[in-house]
Order: sequence, then structure tokens, then C-alpha cells
Amino acid sequence: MSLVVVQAAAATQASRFRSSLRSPLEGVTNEAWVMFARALEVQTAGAVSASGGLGCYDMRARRLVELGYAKALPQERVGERQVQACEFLPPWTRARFLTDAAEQYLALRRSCALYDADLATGRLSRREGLSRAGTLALLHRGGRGALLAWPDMFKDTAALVGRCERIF
Amino acid sequence: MRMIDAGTPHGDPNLDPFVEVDSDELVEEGIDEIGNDEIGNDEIGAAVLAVVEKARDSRQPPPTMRAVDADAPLPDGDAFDPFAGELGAGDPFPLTSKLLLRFGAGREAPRYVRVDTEESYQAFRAESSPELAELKARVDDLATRFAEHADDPDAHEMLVAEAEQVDLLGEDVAGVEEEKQVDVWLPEWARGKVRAWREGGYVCASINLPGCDGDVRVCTSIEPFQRCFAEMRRHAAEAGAGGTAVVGVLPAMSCVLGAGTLVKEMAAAAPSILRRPEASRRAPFVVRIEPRANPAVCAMAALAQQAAGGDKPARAEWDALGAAAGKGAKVVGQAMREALALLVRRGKVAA
Repeated sequence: MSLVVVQAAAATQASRFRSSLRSPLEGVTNEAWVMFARALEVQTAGAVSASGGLGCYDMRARRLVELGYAKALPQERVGERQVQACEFLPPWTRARFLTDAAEQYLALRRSCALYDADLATGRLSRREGLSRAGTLALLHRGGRGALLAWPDMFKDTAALVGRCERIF
Repeated sequence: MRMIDAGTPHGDPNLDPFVEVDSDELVEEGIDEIGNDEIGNDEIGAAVLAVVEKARDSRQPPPTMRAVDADAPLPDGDAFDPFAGELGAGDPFPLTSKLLLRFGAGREAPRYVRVDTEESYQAFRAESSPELAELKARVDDLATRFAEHADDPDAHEMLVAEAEQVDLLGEDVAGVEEEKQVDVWLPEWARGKVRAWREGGYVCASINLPGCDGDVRVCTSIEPFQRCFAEMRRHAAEAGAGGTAVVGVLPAMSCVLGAGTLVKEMAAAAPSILRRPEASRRAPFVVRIEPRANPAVCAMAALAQQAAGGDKPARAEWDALGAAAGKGAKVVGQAMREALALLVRRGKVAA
């Protein structure tokens, strides 16, 4: 099959289906939410980052533990960093999580909704100069510690926050 | 570290975008086309195509089906789904799971088909859609009141205003019904003879068949959306497709998958449905359709044949299944024995 035919088939298949993703964040449109989620995609679904983040959203072990997917293991050294390790809880396994892009999205959605709720109720405080999307991106990448340390952060975290800053 | 009350993963309907969306929610939240400009790009299009191809390659054409009494005892094979919920690398029997999927085994529920005349079908559709049912009730009420107050000019003026409201409601309902439609790709000759839509937690499909009296009979069946979605997730995982845009269209793809399954199975059962004695009468009835062959046995036979052909992973999985059967998985053991007997009868393996 020629490349043109393959591309045409791909475009036709893609445009045939409507996206049904809904924003879990009050006051944030579905379009903005989808843009935000796409901005947090930093690798493929089966990838593991240098910091141990799993899947296309680079979900960190600490957050997966908080979300109930895994239990915490002692920190381990990966390169120059000390990173949290975790062991997945049934029915989840690390391999299964890495193959299930839909579950990775659901984990991201749940995580952001919970962080946003904490920001709304004052359990977590927004930092001056950070938008709501930027704050959520910072929390997603570095957890509460990163929010406390703001504006000190790794370069790649700063780039991620910068990408999300103006979305909402 | 503070533990948060996150509940179990994918257990909270408020946080799950893939839980069933009822029609009220559709209207309130205005779910519409999001990011279609983005998912039109080549990279994501290719990922969607990969999922579609994986779904296509993992499935078989439906087996020959037969229609039986809705209340007839269920065949044993329907209980065969020892690996439900396993996915990808977490699946201890990946080959078997694929074969089960290909042969359509492991249904959560038997497939029931309602058979209608064209008239009873219209009433059935109106009753089964909450929006259409409400519209019908309002129209019936208005018609009754018009008849009762036909000679009262003042009442007439009031009712005309109300009729305009019902007209507006009708437009809204048409919009909601349009949203429910599942876009099944069909050849030209099938247009108008096949309908697919989503109602509550189910994907539904109807096909027209020619009755023996020359009039149309409409067959309708349903499939739980979550089952279609679980299967499409599996295809996406196997295709290695990920990312927000692809995940976002999985529900729509799941509906097409489910509707396609329903249409194919009802079409495969059509001759048997039309031969039912109830089909000669002009009243709705319900039958159950099921494969003539046991899909679990077909899957086991395919695995045994692969193993006998020297496929080492198939051999290892066959042995592992045998061990599982020895530890009490009786349904698995029964399917394996029947599969072997079938293959021996057909000379595919030595006795």
C-alpha cells in the first residue's frame, strides 16, 4: 500500500471518531483540559523516565502509591537521583500499567483532580506567579515538595511548567 | 507521606471519563467534538489506525449462529472466561486470551435478540429512549387535550402556545438522539437497514430482515459499553498506541466495535431467527442467539493445533493450562478434552 493511501486511511480513521475526554477540573473547559493533558505527555506509554516516572505522563512512584496503584518501597539511587520505588498492587503490575494507556490517562486525571481539590480547599497553597495549570504541572512532576521549593526546580520541570502555564 | 483518600483506581464514577454518560449529562455537559483538528494529524491518525487494525486482526468473522428459546438452558461454554481482566504482560495465558477473543468466548452474558415488526419497532425505540418517551408522552397529552377542548377558543390559544413548546422539545430530542448514533461504516446497500446507537450503558444495534410474509422484521440487540471498552483498551495496548488523543477516541471506537459485533452476530443468526415459529406472527418476540460451535473449545483446539505444530510458547501454555485444570479449573479441563477430541476426529492430531 502506498504511503499516500496509508496516510489517507489514518487521517480518515482518526477524524471519524470523536474525543470524549471531559475536564475533571471545575471551570476548566474540556478543550483546555485536553491541551493540558497533552502538554504533560513527555514520552511513550511504555517508557520509564530517568527519574523512574512511568508511562506517557511520567507518573511518579510516590503519586502512584498515593493513588492506590502501588505500595511504597525504600528509595533507590537512579543515576544521580534518589527516587521513590514502588511495587504495584493487584490487579496492577508495572508491565500492565505500562501497556495500558487508558489507565495512565485515568491516573493522571484522578491525580490532577485531587491536587486541584486540595488547592481549592487550602490544603495546598498556590504560589504567586504560577497559574492554576502551572501549579498542577509542578505538582504532577515534583509533588508537594516541588511546590514548597518553587521557584527552585530542575530544568525539565521548569520547561514542563512553562508549557502548561498559559493553558488555564 | 500523607495518604489521600483516592479510593481504588478507576472506582470513582465522578473521576472516570469513561463511565456511562446518560443523556441528561450529555445535554448538560455539552460533550461535543473536542480536538478533532488535533487528532487529524498523521501521527495520531496512524496510532488510531494501528488500534483499528489490531482490533480487526484479533477478531474472527462470527461463527454460524443459531436462535434458541430465550429461556433455554445456557450451554456450559458461556462460563468459560478464566482469564477475564488480565491484560498484556500481566496475563499468564496471553495466547489463550487472544484465541478466546478471536473466537468470541467468555461472554459476560448471553446474547438476546428482540424481533419486531416495523410498527412495534417504532414503539419499542420510543419507549426505550427516555427523551423520546417524554416527548411521546407530551405529544399524547397535548393531543388528548386538543380533542377535549376542540370547541373552546380560549383553551385553543393556550394549547397552541404549549404545542410550540413541544415542538422545541422535539428539536432538542432530535439533537440528543443524533448524539447517540454510532457511526458504523456500511456498504451502500446496507444504508437504512442497519442502525446503531448508544443508550445508557449499552451499545445497541438493529438490522432489518425480510420476514416470510414479505414484511420487514427488525432485530435488535445490546452489548454493555464497558465490555466493548475493555476490549478496545486491550487492542490499544497490543498496538502500543497511547497518548491523550488516542485515549480520548477509545470510547467512540468501542461503540463502533460493539455495534459491529452485534450486527455481524445477528446477521449470522438471521436464517435461524427467521425460521423460528414466532417469526411468522406479527408480534414482537425475544430469542437467544449462540454459536453453533463452542468458542472456548475452538480456542483450545487452535491452541492445541499450534502446540502440535511445534510452536513452543503454545506448547508451554497448553501445559500450563493442563496444570491449572489439574488444580481445579474444571471448565478449562473440559474445554481442553473436547478440543482434543475434535482435533482427533478431524485427524489434525494423533489420538
